[in-house]
Amino acid sequence: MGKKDKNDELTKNAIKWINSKKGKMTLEKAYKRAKEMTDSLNEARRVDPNSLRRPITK
Amino acid sequence: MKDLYDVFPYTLDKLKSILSEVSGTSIEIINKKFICIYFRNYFEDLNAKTIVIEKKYIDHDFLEDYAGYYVKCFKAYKKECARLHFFNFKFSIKDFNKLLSGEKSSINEGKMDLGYLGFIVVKPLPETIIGRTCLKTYSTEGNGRNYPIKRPYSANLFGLDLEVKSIAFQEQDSVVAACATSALWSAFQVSGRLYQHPILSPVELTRAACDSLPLESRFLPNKGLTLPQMAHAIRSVNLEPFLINALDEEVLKSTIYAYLKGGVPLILTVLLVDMSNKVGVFVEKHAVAITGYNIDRDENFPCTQRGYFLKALRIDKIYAHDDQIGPFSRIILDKKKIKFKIYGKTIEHISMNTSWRGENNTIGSMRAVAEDLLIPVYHKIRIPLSDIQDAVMHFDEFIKALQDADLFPVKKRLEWDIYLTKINEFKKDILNKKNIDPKLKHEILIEGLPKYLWRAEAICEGKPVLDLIFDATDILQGLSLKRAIGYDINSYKFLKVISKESVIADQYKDKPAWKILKWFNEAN
Repeated sequence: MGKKDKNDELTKNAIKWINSKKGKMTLEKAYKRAKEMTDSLNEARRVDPNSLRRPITK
Repeated sequence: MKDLYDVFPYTLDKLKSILSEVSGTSIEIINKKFICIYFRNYFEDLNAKTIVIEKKYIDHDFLEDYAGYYVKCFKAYKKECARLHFFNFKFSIKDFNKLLSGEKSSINEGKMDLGYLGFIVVKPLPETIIGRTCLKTYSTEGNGRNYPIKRPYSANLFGLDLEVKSIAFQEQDSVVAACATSALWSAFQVSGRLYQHPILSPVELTRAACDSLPLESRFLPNKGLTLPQMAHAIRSVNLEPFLINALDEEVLKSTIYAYLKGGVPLILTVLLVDMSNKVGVFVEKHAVAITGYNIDRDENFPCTQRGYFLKALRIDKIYAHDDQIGPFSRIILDKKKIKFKIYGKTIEHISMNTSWRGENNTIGSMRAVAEDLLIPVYHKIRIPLSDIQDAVMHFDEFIKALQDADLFPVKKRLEWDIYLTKINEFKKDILNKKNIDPKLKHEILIEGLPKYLWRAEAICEGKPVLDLIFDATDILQGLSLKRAIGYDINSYKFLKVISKESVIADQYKDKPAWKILKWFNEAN
C-alpha cells in the first residue's frame, strides 16, 4: 500500500472512530482531562491578595 | 589630559582601585561589595583586557536623581560621574592618544568598536556607586543561553562611536530607589525602546509609583514599593501592568519564555529565604528584572508538568538584573524544596538557587521562592498567554486521544513552543524557512496580519509539524486561529478532513479546542 493510500485509510478509520460511541466518549474524556489541566493552571495563576499589600523592600 | 581620561590594563584589583578613586568611596567598602566579586567572573568570561576611564561624564539618569534629591543635601555631592569603558584587547594610553590626535596608531575606531565590551557609570556617592551599566552578555554560542530582549546601546568616547548589545543595569542607591524601582528601571530600558515611551530615571519612577498610592510614610528616601505602586509606575508610561502568581513552576517558566521571546521584559518578585540553618527564615521580598533564560539542551525528552509537553519547561536557569548581585545574574531552577517560616507560619515550597549570601556568609545560602510576575504590556496586546495555552492544551488532548487510538499521522506526542511575536519577525522566519510549500510561503508573506501575534509551534522529535498563529490584539470572545501552517502535510490534510465532520463541530463548538479546529473546518 502506498503512502497516500495509507493516509487515506487512516483518515477513513479516524472518521469512523470519531462517529462511533467509543470515539465520542474518548473525546469527551479528553476534553475533561484538558479542562482539569487548564483549570489547575488558571488557579495557579491567581494572585494572592496578601502579596499586594506587602512592600518589596530588599 | 590625565584629569579627563586614562587607560589601564584590566585586572580586578585595578578596577576596584579605579572605582574607589573616581567615586571617593574607600577601598575597604569597595572590597566588601558583592558586585565586585560578581564582576571578577563576569569580566573573566568576557576576556576584558583594557579599561578606559572617562573621568568627567554627565549621566542623564544620575543628573535627574541629583536634581531631584542630592542637590538639596548640605554636603556638596558632585553631579559629574565617571564612565569606565572595557575592551577585549590590549592597548596603551599612548595608542589611545595617537588615535585621538589623528596620528598613526595600532588601534582604530573599527577595532575599538569590535572589541568593545560595554561601560559602567560610576556615581559620586558613598557606597552605592554603580550607575548605568551596559555590558556585553555572556556568550550564547554553543549553549542554551538566550537573551531575547537585549538592545543596542551607543557610547560616544571622545568622538569614537561604540556600540554594545545589552540591557542597562544599576545598583540600587537605597535613597531614590530600592530593588523594585531598579527592576522597573531595567525593564523600562527595553519597553521604552520597544513602545517609544519615556524611560524614567529612578527618582522619577519612584515619584510616579507613589503619585496616587502614597506609602504610609515618606517615599524618599525610598525603602521599597508595593506591587500596586509598581503597577502604577507602569501605567504612568502608558503600558498595562499584567500581574500573575508565579509560585507554580509551569506558570513561571511558560510565562517568562513566552513574553521574553516576544521582546517583553518581566519583573519577578521573590521571597528571599535564609537557609543558613535547618529551617529557613524569610528575610525580605525582592524584585528583579528578568533578562534571559537557559534552555537545557541535554534534555532528551520533552518536559511536562501537567501532562502536555511545552518547550518552555526545558528552562533550567533564568538570568536577571539583580540590583545587589549584578547584571544577568544566574538563578538556577533546581527544584529544591525548602521549609521556612513566614508571617507566623511554616511552609514548604520549591525554591531557586541564587548568588545571595545568608547569615553564614556562604554564596547560595539564601534561596528565592518565586512569588509574582509583573509584566508591562503594550495595551494592544490584549490576549494573555493563558487563553492561548488553554486552546492549545485542549487541542493537544484532542490529538492525543487520536494518537492513543493509533489514528493520527504523527505517532509521538507533540511538544509545543508558545510565544509572543511580531508580524515582521514571523514573516522573516517564514521567508527563511526551507520546509514550506512555495505557493503557501508566498501566500503567507503577502497576507495582512496583526502587528502582535501569538505563535504555537508543534514539534515532534525535533521536526516541525504545525504552526498555529493567533491574533494577540483580538478580544477574547473573538479569539480564534488566524492561520495554521502544516509542515507535516499528512497531519495538516488529516485535520482539515476530520474537523469537517459534523460530529466534531457538534462536540467541540462550545469548547476551547474549537478556537483551532474551526480554522481547519473552514479551510479549503
